[in-house]
Amino acid sequence: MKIKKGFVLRRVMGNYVVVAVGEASRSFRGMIKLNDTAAAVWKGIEKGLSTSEICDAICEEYDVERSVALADVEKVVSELTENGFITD
Amino acid sequence: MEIREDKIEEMIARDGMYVCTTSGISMKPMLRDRRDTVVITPVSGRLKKYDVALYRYKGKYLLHRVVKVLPDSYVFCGDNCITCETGVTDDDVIGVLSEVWRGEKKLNLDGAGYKLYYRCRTATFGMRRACRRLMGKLKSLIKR
Repeated sequence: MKIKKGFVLRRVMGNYVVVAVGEASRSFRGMIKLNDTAAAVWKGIEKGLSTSEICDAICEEYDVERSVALADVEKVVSELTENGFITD
Repeated sequence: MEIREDKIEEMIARDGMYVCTTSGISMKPMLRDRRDTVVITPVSGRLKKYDVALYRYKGKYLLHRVVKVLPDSYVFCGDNCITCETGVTDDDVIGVLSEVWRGEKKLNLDGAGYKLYYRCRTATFGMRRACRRLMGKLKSLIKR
Protein backbone atom coordinates (compact mmCIF):
# COMPACT_ATOMS: atom_id res chain seq x y z
CA MET A 1 0.00 0.00 0.00
CA LYS A 2 1.60 3.26 -1.17
CA ILE A 3 0.56 6.83 -1.84
CA LYS A 4 0.39 7.42 -5.58
CA LYS A 5 3.38 9.36 -6.87
CA GLY A 6 2.71 13.07 -7.25
CA PHE A 7 0.45 13.67 -4.25
CA VAL A 8 1.71 15.39 -1.10
CA LEU A 9 0.16 16.24 2.25
CA ARG A 10 0.47 19.80 3.53
CA ARG A 11 -0.59 21.40 6.81
CA VAL A 12 -2.03 24.69 5.61
CA MET A 13 -3.70 27.28 7.84
CA GLY A 14 -4.65 24.62 10.36
CA ASN A 15 -6.00 22.21 7.72
CA TYR A 16 -4.56 19.08 6.20
CA VAL A 17 -4.67 19.36 2.43
CA VAL A 18 -3.40 17.03 -0.27
CA VAL A 19 -2.31 18.55 -3.55
CA ALA A 20 -0.85 17.19 -6.74
CA VAL A 21 2.69 18.10 -7.76
CA GLY A 22 4.71 17.38 -10.88
CA GLU A 23 3.01 15.48 -13.68
CA ALA A 24 0.07 14.59 -11.44
CA SER A 25 -0.84 18.30 -11.31
CA ARG A 26 -1.64 18.21 -15.05
CA SER A 27 -4.64 15.98 -14.47
CA PHE A 28 -5.64 16.92 -10.92
CA ARG A 29 -6.06 20.62 -10.13
CA GLY A 30 -8.25 20.35 -7.08
CA MET A 31 -7.43 19.94 -3.43
CA ILE A 32 -8.26 17.18 -1.00
CA LYS A 33 -9.11 18.23 2.52
CA LEU A 34 -8.37 15.61 5.14
CA ASN A 35 -9.53 15.48 8.73
CA ASP A 36 -7.08 14.49 11.48
CA THR A 37 -7.83 10.77 11.18
CA ALA A 38 -7.48 10.75 7.41
CA ALA A 39 -4.23 12.72 7.71
CA ALA A 40 -2.93 10.19 10.25
CA VAL A 41 -3.80 7.40 7.80
CA TRP A 42 -2.07 9.25 4.96
CA LYS A 43 1.09 9.76 7.06
CA GLY A 44 1.02 6.12 8.10
CA ILE A 45 0.81 4.95 4.50
CA GLU A 46 3.70 7.28 3.63
CA LYS A 47 5.74 5.57 6.36
CA GLY A 48 4.86 2.18 4.89
CA LEU A 49 2.67 1.08 7.80
CA SER A 50 -0.08 -1.51 7.45
CA THR A 51 -3.72 -0.77 8.27
CA SER A 52 -3.30 -2.47 11.64
CA GLU A 53 -0.13 -0.51 12.46
CA ILE A 54 -1.82 2.77 11.51
CA CYS A 55 -4.69 1.83 13.77
CA ASP A 56 -2.24 1.17 16.64
CA ALA A 57 -0.63 4.57 16.10
CA ILE A 58 -4.01 6.30 16.19
CA CYS A 59 -5.02 4.46 19.36
CA GLU A 60 -1.78 5.58 21.00
CA GLU A 61 -2.41 9.20 20.09
CA TYR A 62 -6.15 9.44 20.64
CA ASP A 63 -8.50 8.10 23.29
CA VAL A 64 -10.44 5.78 20.99
CA GLU A 65 -11.46 2.13 21.02
CA ARG A 66 -9.46 -0.03 18.67
CA SER A 67 -12.53 -1.34 16.86
CA VAL A 68 -13.74 2.22 16.14
CA ALA A 69 -10.27 3.33 15.02
CA LEU A 70 -9.90 0.29 12.76
CA ALA A 71 -13.26 0.96 11.11
CA ASP A 72 -12.26 4.59 10.52
CA VAL A 73 -8.87 3.63 9.09
CA GLU A 74 -10.40 1.06 6.77
CA LYS A 75 -12.99 3.58 5.59
CA VAL A 76 -10.31 6.18 4.80
CA VAL A 77 -8.11 3.62 3.05
CA SER A 78 -11.10 2.50 1.02
CA GLU A 79 -11.96 6.08 -0.02
CA LEU A 80 -8.36 6.87 -0.92
CA THR A 81 -8.11 3.68 -2.93
CA GLU A 82 -11.41 4.30 -4.73
CA ASN A 83 -10.23 7.76 -5.72
CA GLY A 84 -6.90 6.48 -6.97
CA PHE A 85 -4.60 7.98 -4.36
CA ILE A 86 -3.29 4.63 -3.15
CA THR A 87 -1.51 2.02 -5.20
CA ASP A 88 -0.42 -1.49 -4.20
CA MET B 1 -12.28 13.63 3.09
CA GLU B 2 -13.40 16.15 0.54
CA ILE B 3 -12.12 15.97 -3.01
CA ARG B 4 -12.72 19.19 -4.84
CA GLU B 5 -12.12 20.23 -8.38
CA ASP B 6 -14.62 23.09 -8.44
CA LYS B 7 -13.89 26.50 -9.82
CA ILE B 8 -11.15 28.25 -7.89
CA GLU B 9 -13.50 31.07 -6.89
CA GLU B 10 -15.93 28.53 -5.41
CA MET B 11 -13.20 26.78 -3.44
CA ILE B 12 -11.92 30.04 -1.97
CA ALA B 13 -15.43 31.18 -1.07
CA ARG B 14 -16.24 27.84 0.56
CA ASP B 15 -12.96 26.99 2.26
CA GLY B 16 -11.37 30.39 2.73
CA MET B 17 -8.34 29.22 0.81
CA TYR B 18 -7.18 27.49 -2.34
CA VAL B 19 -4.12 25.28 -2.39
CA CYS B 20 -2.50 24.19 -5.63
CA THR B 21 0.72 23.54 -7.47
CA THR B 22 1.77 26.33 -9.78
CA SER B 23 2.32 25.73 -13.48
CA GLY B 24 4.34 27.84 -15.87
CA ILE B 25 7.58 29.79 -15.63
CA SER B 26 6.27 33.34 -15.39
CA MET B 27 7.08 33.59 -11.66
CA LYS B 28 10.48 31.92 -11.79
CA PRO B 29 12.73 31.82 -9.82
CA MET B 30 10.30 32.18 -6.92
CA LEU B 31 7.76 29.64 -8.20
CA ARG B 32 8.90 26.63 -10.18
CA ASP B 33 6.80 24.87 -12.80
CA ARG B 34 4.69 22.10 -11.22
CA ARG B 35 6.96 21.85 -8.20
CA ASP B 36 5.93 24.51 -5.69
CA THR B 37 2.67 24.67 -3.78
CA VAL B 38 0.89 27.93 -3.13
CA VAL B 39 -1.91 28.92 -0.77
CA ILE B 40 -4.30 31.58 -2.00
CA THR B 41 -6.61 33.34 0.44
CA PRO B 42 -9.36 35.94 -0.05
CA VAL B 43 -8.31 39.56 -0.36
CA SER B 44 -9.34 42.05 2.29
CA GLY B 45 -9.22 45.59 0.99
CA ARG B 46 -7.00 46.69 -1.85
CA LEU B 47 -3.83 44.96 -2.87
CA LYS B 48 -0.48 46.58 -2.14
CA LYS B 49 2.53 46.95 -4.38
CA TYR B 50 4.60 43.72 -4.40
CA ASP B 51 1.65 41.54 -3.36
CA VAL B 52 1.33 38.39 -5.46
CA ALA B 53 -2.28 37.81 -6.42
CA LEU B 54 -4.39 35.37 -8.39
CA TYR B 55 -6.65 37.08 -10.94
CA ARG B 56 -8.55 36.53 -14.16
CA TYR B 57 -7.03 38.07 -17.25
CA LYS B 58 -8.28 37.48 -20.78
CA GLY B 59 -9.93 34.22 -19.82
CA LYS B 60 -6.95 32.84 -17.91
CA TYR B 61 -5.99 32.55 -14.27
CA LEU B 62 -2.71 34.32 -13.57
CA LEU B 63 -0.63 34.53 -10.41
CA HIS B 64 1.63 37.55 -10.76
CA ARG B 65 3.03 40.40 -8.70
CA VAL B 66 1.50 43.86 -8.34
CA VAL B 67 4.01 46.34 -9.72
CA LYS B 68 1.77 49.39 -9.71
CA VAL B 69 -1.37 50.32 -7.79
CA LEU B 70 -3.63 52.74 -9.63
CA PRO B 71 -6.80 54.35 -8.26
CA ASP B 72 -9.09 52.04 -10.25
CA SER B 73 -6.87 49.13 -11.29
CA TYR B 74 -3.52 47.38 -10.96
CA VAL B 75 -0.54 46.64 -13.16
CA PHE B 76 0.74 43.08 -12.71
CA CYS B 77 3.92 41.46 -13.90
CA GLY B 78 5.38 37.99 -13.46
CA ASP B 79 8.84 37.92 -11.89
CA ASN B 80 10.15 36.26 -15.05
CA CYS B 81 8.11 38.30 -17.54
CA ILE B 82 9.00 41.25 -19.72
CA THR B 83 5.43 42.34 -20.37
CA CYS B 84 2.85 43.49 -17.84
CA GLU B 85 -0.90 43.07 -17.52
CA THR B 86 -2.72 46.38 -17.19
CA GLY B 87 -6.29 47.30 -16.35
CA VAL B 88 -6.78 44.52 -13.81
CA THR B 89 -9.52 45.65 -11.44
CA ASP B 90 -10.44 44.54 -7.94
CA ASP B 91 -13.29 42.54 -9.45
CA ASP B 92 -10.78 40.48 -11.42
CA VAL B 93 -8.74 39.63 -8.34
CA ILE B 94 -9.59 36.26 -6.82
CA GLY B 95 -7.14 36.01 -3.96
CA VAL B 96 -3.72 36.82 -2.64
CA LEU B 97 -0.70 34.58 -2.12
CA SER B 98 -0.38 33.68 1.56
CA GLU B 99 2.00 30.74 1.68
CA VAL B 100 4.55 29.09 -0.60
CA TRP B 101 5.86 25.56 -0.08
CA ARG B 102 9.03 24.29 -1.73
CA GLY B 103 8.88 20.62 -1.01
CA GLU B 104 8.58 20.32 2.76
CA LYS B 105 9.90 23.82 3.32
CA LYS B 106 7.59 26.78 3.78
CA LEU B 107 9.02 30.04 2.46
CA ASN B 108 9.06 32.97 4.84
CA LEU B 109 7.11 35.65 2.98
CA ASP B 110 7.67 38.12 5.83
CA GLY B 111 11.43 37.70 5.90
CA ALA B 112 14.05 40.24 4.86
CA GLY B 113 15.36 37.87 2.19
CA TYR B 114 12.03 37.73 0.40
CA LYS B 115 11.60 41.53 0.61
CA LEU B 116 15.04 42.00 -0.91
CA TYR B 117 14.17 39.49 -3.64
CA TYR B 118 10.94 41.16 -4.78
CA ARG B 119 12.34 44.68 -4.59
CA CYS B 120 15.38 43.71 -6.69
CA ARG B 121 13.22 41.75 -9.12
CA THR B 122 10.88 44.68 -9.64
CA ALA B 123 13.64 47.29 -9.78
CA THR B 124 15.55 45.39 -12.46
CA PHE B 125 12.48 44.84 -14.67
CA GLY B 126 13.57 47.39 -17.31
CA MET B 127 17.07 45.99 -17.48
CA ARG B 128 15.80 42.42 -17.81
CA ARG B 129 13.41 43.43 -20.56
CA ALA B 130 16.17 45.23 -22.48
CA CYS B 131 18.50 42.21 -22.13
CA ARG B 132 15.78 39.77 -23.21
CA ARG B 133 14.96 41.86 -26.30
CA LEU B 134 18.64 42.22 -27.17
CA MET B 135 19.13 38.47 -26.88
CA GLY B 136 16.10 37.92 -29.11
CA LYS B 137 17.52 40.23 -31.78
CA LEU B 138 20.94 38.58 -31.59
CA LYS B 139 19.35 35.15 -32.00
CA SER B 140 17.40 36.27 -35.05
CA LEU B 141 20.57 37.76 -36.56
CA ILE B 142 22.47 34.52 -35.97
CA LYS B 143 19.68 32.53 -37.64
CA ARG B 144 19.98 34.66 -40.78
